Amino acid sequence: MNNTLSVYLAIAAMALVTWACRCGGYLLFSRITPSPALRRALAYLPGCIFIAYVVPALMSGPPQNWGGAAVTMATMATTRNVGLSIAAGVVSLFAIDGAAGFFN
Amino acid sequence: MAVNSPLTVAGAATVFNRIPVSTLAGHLHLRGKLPGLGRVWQAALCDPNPCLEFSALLTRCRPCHQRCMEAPITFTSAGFWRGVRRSLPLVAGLSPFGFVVGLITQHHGLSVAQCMTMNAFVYAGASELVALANWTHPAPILAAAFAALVVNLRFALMGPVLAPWLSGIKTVPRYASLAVLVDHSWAISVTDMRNGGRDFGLYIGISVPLWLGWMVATTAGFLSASTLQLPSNHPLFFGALAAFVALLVPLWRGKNDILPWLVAAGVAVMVAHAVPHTSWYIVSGAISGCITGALLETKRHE
Repeated sequence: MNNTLSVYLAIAAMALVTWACRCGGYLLFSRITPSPALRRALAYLPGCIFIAYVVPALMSGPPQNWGGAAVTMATMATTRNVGLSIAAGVVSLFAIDGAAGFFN
Repeated sequence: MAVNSPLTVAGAATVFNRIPVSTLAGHLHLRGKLPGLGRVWQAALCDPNPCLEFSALLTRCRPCHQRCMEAPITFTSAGFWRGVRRSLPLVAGLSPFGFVVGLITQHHGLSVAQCMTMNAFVYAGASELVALANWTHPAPILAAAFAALVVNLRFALMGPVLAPWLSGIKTVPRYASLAVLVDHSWAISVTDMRNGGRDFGLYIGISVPLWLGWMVATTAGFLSASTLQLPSNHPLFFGALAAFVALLVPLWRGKNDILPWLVAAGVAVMVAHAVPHTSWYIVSGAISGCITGALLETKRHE
């Protein structure tokens, strides 16, 4: 299969699956009842998905990313502004890199 | 109530946990009356010990639902423009994230047309980043679809909460408008619905600028990447990871999350090490965290 076609097929697959997720909850939850155990488990899903993405990504990246993550979290915890927190994290990494370059 | 992030959702859940059970019992008469939801599922939502965050949102909006049952769903231009005004700070706040998604799309060798197609139709930055992180040539169709499924499953939890509005509009616009459902438009709409809002124009008014802003930010990111030619370890690329780190903060609900999150992180790290370049680490980490949380909760109730 050529590259261009495979990219568009992958995008189409992602778009379909994502749309199915968006509609699926509305469709499904009006028809079935999750068991109490399943509902208890689902309540932990959002946080666990994000932490399962973030921690391996931080571990495989350069160590200063942990500093950037700490700054992002602190900004988010105080301001609750996603855009500002991302910017603060990136700026802090620039600062860490700059400081590292200065001392080396 | 100012809503500028998905935080309000988690916030509502925190508040909800402090509401005495007697208050909850007060709305049990609503069983079978919430529009658009099956009778059994409504009973589940009225469970005095609800677990899902969105059940907290529904159970807190009894006055709204009473009004909902009396008034029809409307679509006014006033509501649309109100939505547009409320979306503008969000558009500004999300631009850096969109910019980074564009940068990374370029980094993985997609064309500008492919980047725009992906952002227009998938329109879920987090899942795009996960799919792109494991991108290959030719493109990994199944892996990309799987990444989309795993990361976007959270949207499935949002739809049911908007049911009173969604059930009030025709089938085609209903499923078309669900295609642009994102955390931010959902949070504002749910707040408005809780306050008795019946104007679906608000949701569309938020969604249109958010989508347009996302397209501009991602395309701008893509185009600047090709002129900037940034190295892969450039601090700007940290922006994508920073978005997830930031979104993690409002998802924190308290000390009961500690162990499930540790288990999720630990399993994810191990699986990422064992099966690199797939999304399995996210699924296995998330599922083990969920099971841990459910087991701990069951144990606490005994």
